[in-house]
Amino acid sequence: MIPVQNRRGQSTLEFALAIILILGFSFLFLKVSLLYAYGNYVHYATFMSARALLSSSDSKADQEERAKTVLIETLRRGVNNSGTERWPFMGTGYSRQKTATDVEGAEIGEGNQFRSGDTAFSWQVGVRYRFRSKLFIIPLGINPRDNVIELTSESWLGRDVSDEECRDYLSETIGGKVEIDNGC
Amino acid sequence: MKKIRFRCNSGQATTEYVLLSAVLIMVYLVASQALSDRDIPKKLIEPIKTSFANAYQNGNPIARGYEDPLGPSMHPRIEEDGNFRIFVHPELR
Repeated sequence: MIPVQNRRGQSTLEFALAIILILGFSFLFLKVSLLYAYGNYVHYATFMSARALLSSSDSKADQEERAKTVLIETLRRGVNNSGTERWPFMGTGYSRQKTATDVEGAEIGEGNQFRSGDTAFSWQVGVRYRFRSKLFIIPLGINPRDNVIELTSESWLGRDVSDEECRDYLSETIGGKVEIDNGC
Repeated sequence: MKKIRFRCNSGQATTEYVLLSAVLIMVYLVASQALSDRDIPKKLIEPIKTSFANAYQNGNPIARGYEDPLGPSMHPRIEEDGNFRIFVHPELR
């Protein structure tokens, strides 16, 4: 039998093996809790952005710009730092395809199933925000692709017509002469 | 009864150490095998990726959105008998 003269490393080694598993699962629960909280916050941000889009303004572009500003103020580090996530550890916006807005993950305006005049699909006007987050901070042998959750927050509140669209509508229908104010 | 006296007890600790080590190693091997074979980490996060993601986007774990390849179902805005406003009826679950 070979006599071991120094066993000081044994407990350290056992501790290192055990702590990987313990921390791996502990951080999973912590991360999921943070994800739930962040998810609620994103719902709030999307809803507030959809409200900004809903209210009438001079033009449609102005309404969309206001909605975008609300998203930037809530989910990014301010208007002057719109490209940086506010809490990248909890979630980062991503887009499935390139969208008109420069806020990664945000779709503002008509959704991709929107059909004008069709009551079954004309409701889809508002804000959609997609984000993703890692679940296991210590992967524990899990496939990196499986370790990512993708969530989508939507708020379809609609959009009031803008002054510009209202003027166009009246000029088209009545030939520029306002006879009845329909509230537009 | 005649009591047997061992002249040397020096091997006892070693034997106990070997037995205990065997048990601990077995537990560790079973645990690590279960983690990898049964895909426990994946099973842990699968409900979050499906049920929670559905509930987050469409309001209910069994609801499907308009972007789903199978088409919308149990969606609050769909025009069909199975739609819902706040809760899915228990019979439909």
